[in-house]
Parts: sequence; C-alpha cells; structure tokens
Amino acid sequence: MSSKTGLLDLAPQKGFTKAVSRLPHTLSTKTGIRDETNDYEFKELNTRFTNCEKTTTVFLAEICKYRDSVTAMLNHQAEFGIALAEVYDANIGEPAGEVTPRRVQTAPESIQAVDDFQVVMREIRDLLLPEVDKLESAVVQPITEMQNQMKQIRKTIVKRDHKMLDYDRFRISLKKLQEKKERTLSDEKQSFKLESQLEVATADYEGLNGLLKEELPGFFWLRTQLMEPILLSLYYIQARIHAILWDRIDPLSRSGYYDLTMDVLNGYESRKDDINLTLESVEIIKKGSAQTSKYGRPSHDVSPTGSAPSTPRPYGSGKPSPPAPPATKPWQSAASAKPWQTAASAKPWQAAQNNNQPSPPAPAPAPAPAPAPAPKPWVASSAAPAAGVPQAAPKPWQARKDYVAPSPPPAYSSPAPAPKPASAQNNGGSGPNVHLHVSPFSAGIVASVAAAAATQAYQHGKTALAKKPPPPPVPKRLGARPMVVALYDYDAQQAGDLSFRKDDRIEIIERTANTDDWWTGKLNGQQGVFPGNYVQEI
Amino acid sequence: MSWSGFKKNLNRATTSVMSKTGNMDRTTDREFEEEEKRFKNLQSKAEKLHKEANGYAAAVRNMTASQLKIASTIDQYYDEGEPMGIYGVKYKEAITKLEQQTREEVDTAYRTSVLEPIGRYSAYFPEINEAVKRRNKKLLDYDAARSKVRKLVEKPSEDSNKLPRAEHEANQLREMYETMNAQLTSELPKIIDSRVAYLDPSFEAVVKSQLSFAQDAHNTLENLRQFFPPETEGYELEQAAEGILTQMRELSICGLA
Repeated sequence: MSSKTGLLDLAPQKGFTKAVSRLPHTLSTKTGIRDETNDYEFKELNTRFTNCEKTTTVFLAEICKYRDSVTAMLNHQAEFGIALAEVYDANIGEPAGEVTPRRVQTAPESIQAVDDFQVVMREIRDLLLPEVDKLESAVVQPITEMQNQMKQIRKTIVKRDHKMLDYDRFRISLKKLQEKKERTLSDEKQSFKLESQLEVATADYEGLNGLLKEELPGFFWLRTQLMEPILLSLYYIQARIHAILWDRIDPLSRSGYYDLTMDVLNGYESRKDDINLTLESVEIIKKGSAQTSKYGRPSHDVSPTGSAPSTPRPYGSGKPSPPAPPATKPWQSAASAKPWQTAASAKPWQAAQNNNQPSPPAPAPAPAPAPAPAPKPWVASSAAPAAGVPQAAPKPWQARKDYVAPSPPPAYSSPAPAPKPASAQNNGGSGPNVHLHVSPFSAGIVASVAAAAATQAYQHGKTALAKKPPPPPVPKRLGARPMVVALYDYDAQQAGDLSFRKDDRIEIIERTANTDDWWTGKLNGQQGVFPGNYVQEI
Repeated sequence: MSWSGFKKNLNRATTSVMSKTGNMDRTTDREFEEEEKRFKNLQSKAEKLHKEANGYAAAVRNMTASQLKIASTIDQYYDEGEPMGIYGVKYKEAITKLEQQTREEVDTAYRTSVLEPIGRYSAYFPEINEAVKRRNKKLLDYDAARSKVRKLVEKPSEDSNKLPRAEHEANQLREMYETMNAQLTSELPKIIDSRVAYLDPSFEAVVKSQLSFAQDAHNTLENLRQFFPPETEGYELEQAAEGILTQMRELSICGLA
C-alpha cells in the first residue's frame, strides 16, 4: 500500500534498490493499470491500528499538557501569594523611606491573612509537585513504551506492504510472459527466474500478512488491558492532588478573614463599592491628560469623569437614578425662603469665624411652604445673593489658599455677623480658634488639622497627608473620621462651597444631625460647606 | 511633533545633561522621589499580580480541559468487544461535568472578581506615569529658567528688561512645577495607600475561588471512589502495566523490523 515510506527510506542501500525496482509497479497500480491484491480483513485491522496510533499521540500530548497545567497552576498560585504579600506589606517590600517613613499600616489581620495564604500556597506547591511527577512513571512511561511498540508494528506493516508489492509485481510479470505466444529462450529463462522470485515473494507476503492478521487483534486486546492500570493510576493521582488541595485550602478559608456565606461573585460585588471609591478621589486618575493645560488646582468645573472613561462609576447604571430633583428638599425650600439668603453674604462658617460660640445644633431653617420655583433652586439661590457676594467666586484653589492663610481675608468676613440659624458647625475658616468648639466627630483630629495649618488630603478614612506648597509638613496619620458618599453632583455656588461629583467620598469635618443643614466636609484637600442631603453616610 | 514641542524637548535634553554634569541648578524633592520610587515598585508588583492571576486562570482551564480530553481518549482505546468498565464510564461523566463547572467559574466569577479588577488597577498606572512625566518636564524647565536668572544676576545684561523678564518666567515655571509636584506628592501616597482596600476583595475572591474549585474537584473525584477498586499501596499498578507491555513486546510483529 504505502510504498512511499519505502521510497523515502534511502538509508540502507539495499532498501533503496528495492524501492527503485518497485517504483514502476507502484505507479502503475496507483493509476489503476494493473490489478492489486486486496485483503479486506487486513485493511480493517490496519485502519484500526492507524486510529490507535493517532489516539496514542493525542493521549500522550494531553497527559503532558495536564501535567504542565497542574504545575503551572501550582506555580501561579504560589507566585500570586508572594506578590500579594509584598503588595500588602506596609512598605511594599521596600525599605521605608527617610523622608516619608510613615505609611498607612495595612491592617494586621490582612497581613496575617495574606501571609497565611502565601505560606499555604507554597506548601501546596511543594507537596503536589512530587505527586504530579508520579504521572510520569505511572502514565507517561507505559504509554510511551506502548507507542514504541506501535512503531515496530508499523514497520512490520510497511514491510508487509512491500512484500505485497513484490508479490503483485512478479505475479503480473509472470502472467504476461506466460501469455506470450512465442517465447524466446531468454523469455524462458526470465520466466523461470520470475517463478522462483514469485515463490519467495508469496511466502514473504503471506507470512507477514498472516502474522499481522493473527497478532494485531492480540495487540489491540493488550492495549485495552493496559488502559486499566493507566486509568486507575491516573484517577488515584488526580484524587490525591485534589484531596491535598482541598485539605489545605479548606482550613485556610476558615480563618475568619473570608466571608464564606456568599459565593465568589456575590462576595466580591458586596465589597465592590469600597474598591471603586478608593481611587475615585485621586485626581490624577480622574483628570488624566485633560489636566495638562491647567496647572492650577483641580477645578471642579471640569467634570472629573469626562476625561477618564476608565474611571469606575460604582453606582453607575445599576443603581436607580437620583430621586426627584432636589427642588423638593426642605433645605432647598429653605433656601428659597431666604433665611439662607440673609446668610448669603455670610455663610455659616463665616459667622463661625467671628463668633465662635458653640451654637446649638441647627434648628431647621424656617421651612418655607412655597416650593422653589426654579427646578434648580441652586441657580436661584446663587443669583439672589449675588448682590451681597462677589459673583466672581474665587476658584476653588484660591479659596483653598485663603483657608490656609492664617487670617481670613476680609472679603470673606461678613460685616454683619450672620443671623443664620444654622449651627456654627463649620470650621472651614481654619483659624485655630474656630476649633474651640469640638464636635464629637472631629474631636482631636480637627485640632491637629488646625495645627498643621494646611489642608489635608484624606484617604479612606485612614490618612491625612499635608499638601505640599509651601514647605512640606510631614504627612500625618489620623484616626478615622466619618465619611459620606455624594449622592448627586454639586457645584459650588459660592466661595466656600464644596464641589463634588456623585460618588465622591467626602470627609466630614463638621455636621449636624439634620441633613437639611449645611455640613462642612473635605474632599481632595479642599474644605467647604455643602448641603447635607446631597450625601449619604457610609 | 510640532516645532515648539521639538524645541521644548531639545531644551529639556540640554538641561538634563547639564544638570547631570553639574552645570545647572538642580531642584530635588526627596519626598516626591521616595513616593515615586514606591509607586514604581507598586506598579511592577501589580503587574506581576495580574500576570499570575491570568496564568492561574489559564492553567486551571487547561487542566480541566486536558483532563476531559484524556478521559475521552482513554475511551477510544476500548471497543465494542471490550467495553470500558463501569468506573471508566463514571469517570468520564464526572470529569465532563467538572470541566464545565470549572470553566464557568473561571470565566465568570473569577474573571469578574479577580482578573478584571486587577487589570483595571494596572490600567491606572500609565495615566499616573504621564502625570509624573509632565511634572519632571516642568521641573527641567524651571531649573533651566532658574539658571538663566542666576547667570543674568552674576553677569548683568545691557538690556535691563532681561532680568525681570527672566525672573518672571522662572516664577511662573516654579508655580507650575510646584502645583504639579504638590498634587503628585499628595496623591501618590493616596494611590499607594489605597492598594489594600482595592485589592482585598479580589484577594478574598481568589481564595474563595480556589476553595470552590478544590471542593468541586475533590467531591467529584471522591464520589467516584465507590466505582473504583480500592487503591493499593506500592507499585502494583505500574507492575501490572509493565507485565502487559512485556506481553506486547513478545508479539512477533513488534520484533520483526
């Protein structure tokens, strides 16, 4: 059949001569000029054997792939653990700096958890790699050995095919000669030679063909028998690998650090909001390249979301849209009812600068029955006080500088201390004296803020770091301060207001129990007042 | 690159060479440098995390896939006359189910809770690096302007306007640099300090995902044990395999060639 293999088999000279002498016959049988001996029984066996060869190649490849995948899995999880432990480390695996040595410490239980994880993952790797190696002796080697035997069988089959070719060749030549009417002497000689050659070829072919037909079924039977110990070994090895994995990971997961009541996805979703908020407040990320042209303090007029599409919006589409426009909120009606406009030229915090007596917590501003006419009462309220307040409100960063200034600029101090009923909850003026009244929320912290006399960046309720210009004060770590989350966007209407975007995390400096009041908060190092009902406590 | 951009780059290159050779005033900010170093460190770690998490997901997927492929290949070694034993059939069934479960788990839960967040985290870094680059450029500009002023002071020019102009320019550049520097110095720590809060949910997801995989696989395989003959100590199976192979070798068709 496939004498091509023989054609290519040039190595032994004898084989080559044979191949050449067989060539004309091969060609003529292939083109159908001459007939060919067919043995259907053998053909079927040969097909099965060819399939078996293919299967074995695939099997070996997959076993190796399996072994490599398990090894890769073990390595990756161990390396992940090591990398994560370094990331969790307070100094990210580096020696602490000299200038900024104080870092937010990672919670000890987190460190513990990640350390345990790392240790267990390495342990698993060390334990399992020898198990994986057992695949080599129990599965890979026997199969490879079987494959070698199959190569031998393949050679026998090729030989049988060659012998069949010879047999056909001599048979046909002899037949031709015998059919010749007038035979010469040389023909006679040739005929005699062919007869003896045919005899040998027939014996060879029939011997090999018979042997193959007899033994191939035996081989198939043995091959199937071999699968039994292979499959058993494979199963036992797999069972052991997964038993060890389970045995180590199960206790690890019960350390109490992980919430096992929820599945992977739900557990993650439930904590997702925290994640997105952690980076929300970082302006570099939000602004991205849009910031190039304005070197000044980040201006809140620019939508922080606009330039960074990748910025996660945690409450994005999943959350219901904001409730009815703030127009209906009490404090807004209060705004339109003007107790607030009187104070327009002197916001609560300005009042606080002048009279720092701790006013009682805010009595709600006289609620006005009339709802605000404008859909955006903010516009109205800023238009009205425009008379009193210079409309060219200083940019947030200027305002910030003003806060830093030890004495508040005259522009802000109201000539007439405001009669605003709102509590003097605001320490935005930042004169240290302001902090003489202490709210439970800001206790010691506020004092230190004032001492630092600088605005502070605040991250995740853990740190406050002093902003840079002028000379760098050492970053401070402070205790937890309450944080709120913005429910809506709010743009400053006046100097001293705090602008924010929906989902911003605002650090509360001062607040009242009443959400209809103006609270004081800090965001991105800026401090200002904002409507309490625009935010939600975390 | 525009002409002005090219000019800027050229000037900056000159400045940085001169400042390295000590011919130029050089502004340093240790605080910023430390933060930057730490940030770079975090960046490489975060990228490594992403790589490992991805590798883990791929490995688990491959592992169960080849497991399944192996089971179905073994099946092909059997034929009508010689059907696979009960444990072989059960094994194949169970492995098929396990592969499906694992693939779903890895492709949905693990992807959403681990791969994507960590990938997104790494994606922030280029933006921040850009900001750092901008800051460094402004710093070079400022240093250049400052040197210019110093030279004018040391060696006054005939044009009396030159010095005030240069001073003005230097001041402007200083302000730009300082605001950028201040922003970075205050925000780099924020980014660095937020890492645990950001990554912790994914860490939890990793552990739980591994747990769920280990649990599924372990249960699946242990449930099969009833169909398998009891496991033997030692090398009996290997010896059995060797015995069969010897018989195979004894076949004449294996030794003729």
